[in-house]
Amino acid sequence: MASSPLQAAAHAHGDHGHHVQPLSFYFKTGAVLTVGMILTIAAYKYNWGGTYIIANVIALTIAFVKAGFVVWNFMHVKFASTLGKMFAFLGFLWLPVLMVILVDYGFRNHEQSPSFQLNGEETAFPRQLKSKDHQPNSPNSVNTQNRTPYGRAF
Amino acid sequence: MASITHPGHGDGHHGAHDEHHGPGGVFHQYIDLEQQNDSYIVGMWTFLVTEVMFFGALFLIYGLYRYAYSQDWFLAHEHLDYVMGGVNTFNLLVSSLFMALAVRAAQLKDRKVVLRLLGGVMVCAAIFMVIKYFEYTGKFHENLYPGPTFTKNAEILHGANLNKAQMFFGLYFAMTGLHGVHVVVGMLIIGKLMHMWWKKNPMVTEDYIPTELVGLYWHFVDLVWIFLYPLFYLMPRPDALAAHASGGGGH
Amino acid sequence: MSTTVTTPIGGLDGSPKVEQNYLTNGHTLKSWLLTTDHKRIAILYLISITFFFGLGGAFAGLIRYELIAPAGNVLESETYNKVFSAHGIIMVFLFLVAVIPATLGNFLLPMMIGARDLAFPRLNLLSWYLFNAGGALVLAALVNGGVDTGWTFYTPYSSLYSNTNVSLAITGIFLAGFASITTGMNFIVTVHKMRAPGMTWFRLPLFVWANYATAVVMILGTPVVAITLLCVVFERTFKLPIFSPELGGDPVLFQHLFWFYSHPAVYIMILPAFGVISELITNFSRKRVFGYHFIAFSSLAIAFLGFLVWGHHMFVSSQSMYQSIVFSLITYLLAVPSAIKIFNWTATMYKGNIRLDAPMIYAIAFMGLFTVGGVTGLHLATVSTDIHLTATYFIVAHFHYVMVGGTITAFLGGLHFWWPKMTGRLYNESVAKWNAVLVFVGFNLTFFPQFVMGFMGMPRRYHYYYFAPEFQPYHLMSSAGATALGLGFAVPIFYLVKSLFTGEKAGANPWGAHGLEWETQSPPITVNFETVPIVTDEVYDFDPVGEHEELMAKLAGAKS
Ligand SMILES: [Cu+2]
Repeated sequence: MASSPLQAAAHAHGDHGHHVQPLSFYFKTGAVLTVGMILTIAAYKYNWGGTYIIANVIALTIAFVKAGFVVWNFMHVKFASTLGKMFAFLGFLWLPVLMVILVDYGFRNHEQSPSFQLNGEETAFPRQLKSKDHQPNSPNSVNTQNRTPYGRAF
Repeated sequence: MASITHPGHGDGHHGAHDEHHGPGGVFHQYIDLEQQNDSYIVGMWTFLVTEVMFFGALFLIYGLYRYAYSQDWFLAHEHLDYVMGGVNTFNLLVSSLFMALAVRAAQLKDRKVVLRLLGGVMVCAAIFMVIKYFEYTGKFHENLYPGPTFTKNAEILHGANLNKAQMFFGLYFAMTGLHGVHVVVGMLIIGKLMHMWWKKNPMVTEDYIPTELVGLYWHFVDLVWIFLYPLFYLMPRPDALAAHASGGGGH
Repeated sequence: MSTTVTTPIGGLDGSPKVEQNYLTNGHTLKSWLLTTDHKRIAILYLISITFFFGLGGAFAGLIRYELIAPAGNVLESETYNKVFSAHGIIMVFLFLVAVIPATLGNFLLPMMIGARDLAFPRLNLLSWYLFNAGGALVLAALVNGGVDTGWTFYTPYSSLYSNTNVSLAITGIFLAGFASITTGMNFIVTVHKMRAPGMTWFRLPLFVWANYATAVVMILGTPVVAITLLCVVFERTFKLPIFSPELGGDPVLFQHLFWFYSHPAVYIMILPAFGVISELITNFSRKRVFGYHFIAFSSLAIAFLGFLVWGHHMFVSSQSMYQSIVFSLITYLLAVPSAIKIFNWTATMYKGNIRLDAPMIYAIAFMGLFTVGGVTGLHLATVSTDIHLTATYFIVAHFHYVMVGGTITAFLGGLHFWWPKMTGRLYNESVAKWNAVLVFVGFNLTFFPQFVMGFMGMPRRYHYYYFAPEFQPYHLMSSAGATALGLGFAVPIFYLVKSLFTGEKAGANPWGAHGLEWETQSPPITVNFETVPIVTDEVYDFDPVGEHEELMAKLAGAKS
């Protein structure tokens, strides 16, 4: 009994619950993503006034939610087999393991080498140490000499 | 080589083979289309796992330096145009929606709609690259490209430490550049896919999986940008600078 | 391409068996270079790998020749740096990472699970081309003047100060890395989706488990090193500052990212070797492997834990002290699954009908050498002793015990074991046996003295030691051993190639081994199996009692 591949295809889809989603499914997802984008920009424009961490958390949370919608709805992980779901999330689950590298920086001073200027105009390589610029900068130093009082124009 | 029909292979669609596959495209190593399609989806995701790790390492580098140099980076980031970035974000979002709809149309075997939507994706991608081009050339004109020619004028970077600003722009070009390469590769793949639909190649018209795979890749490109946009264009103001700005009457 | 094979290949309809096997199915160069047959790609990989192994070995020979005399024999300091870098880069990225998965794995994985091919045959071919393109770029870098950074490319030396062909070599490694990623993707999907009916996870041969674990490490680790090395290229070529210390970057971050891959890479190299040894030990002991589940899951445990120990390469790198302690502890933990395997293999041999054929000699050599390599690894995982031993010949000896004594020994054992399957011919068993002994002796003579002199303080990467001529006897022994080892690696090429022409025809199953790959003819037909195999028996279903009785009956018959 030779079923044609075409039938096989239809069969496979039918079996696998790859129902065609209604258009609204995609448009709703698109709308959520747009709202997310607008929220990110709005959060950026809003003056959080000395709450840098909160602002960062909010920006990243929105990004992760948006990413979740893309992965879950647009990339059809919602309808994928368990195996598909497993591999869809493997990378995202493994990334935190890579981020363990950051733990090192929590336990030691990220000591910078003395900051020095580039060696003239000709080439960056090799650069030479100039003794007069040989002052260590603290990690979060801002070059105050060159800084003009500056406020972002809102 | 690939076209040996296995006798124990229930489908028995012998004669109709072309070079690689039968109509509907079951390759000889698979038992049926379902096995093949599952393999393709899982295979594509293993590839995307490598992409996640690939970009992930860059995000790690970014995170470390952003934490260490938050103030200088904030000042440097103000040189990026968040409106241009925002337009591109929306642009990729729309392209992603088009792509999802194209996959849906492929499921319905609606060739015309697929071609139109994929065309829409291509237009969005092209707009993305054009905007990127203007952004990049703008940076080049102001000598904001890292290296010996990097600007000595701290004014245009609002007083950021020039070395740290160089690191910011270094990662900006590295990360958005690699993302841009992915966009261009995506355009090539989508072009090829459109060509196949145009030619009514049964491999794509009878089976939506090839379109779905291209879609997965494209959504991933969008996914990376979803993180790149807030990280590079929309940095919150560090606390130390917030005090500074309000003190100077910035608000 | 499209040489559509219409030869009846036998099967359900009872048509006659085929004469065509995968080797005779197409004789043109094109039929090889454009093949999508996993068996042919494995052969292609075998040729590439042998070439790079020979090249890397030649560089090793130069190193050993240089060090015979305390003042150095032939090489300038700079040349010596380039020689050991070339040795390391070729051996690690172009040999060890690919050697077992891409050759034996490619050949056997689909056959062991009863599939007709890997899930993505064309991707598999692409992998071979990427590998060779990467190899060609590395060769171009060497021909063009070499690389002097060592195989680790530590920044800022590689990014700012080295004026050798670092970018070219790294681009080559990048491509070879993608060859490895594509192999990994292929293996994962194949093991998940292509198993024959009845081939449950716990009926998979341990070689498949090992390669599956390897594949997971490949796809999770390789992209990280790819982007990290790419950043070095960005820094050199496009002047994008990423690890530059003078602008505020952190060169140690490179080491973190590099070892995040490169420690798991050690498991990319050794896990498939574990798989080979599991097959060899169980077959030549004629017993079901002891603790199948433990061996299978220890492969996964190693793959997982292997990602959490990279910091043991960085004890002297200004890494945080607390982190060093944690990495040290996790490294001890990692010794457990490795030891589980060694104990289980030993238990498998216990009361088995051990046959000392050449593959088994390699397998037993592996167990000894890997144990030495593993236990000395614990010396290096201990922060206090590591600080004494860092950058000495002790480390060199340690990883050569693991990589040469482990991976290459297992590869040779596996190659001998499956050679009759791959080529359909038997090699000269007695020569092979003596050669296995030569490899074992030569290896120990080469690397054991290095433990001793390393412990006494001989630094690695020095091209002379006139300041400490008392090390010369050790270096002499090491160089003499390297000569024997080189011979031991060269001889198989001759007798294996000779067997292709004059070797006795091997039947489908010359070893009386269990496994689907032995149930098809040797060499296999292009689609591996005439019909889709249906697996009904358990894995390694040896019958030692029955075999023993058979043997006794035979002996009794011979006597009478
Ligand atoms: Cu390690």
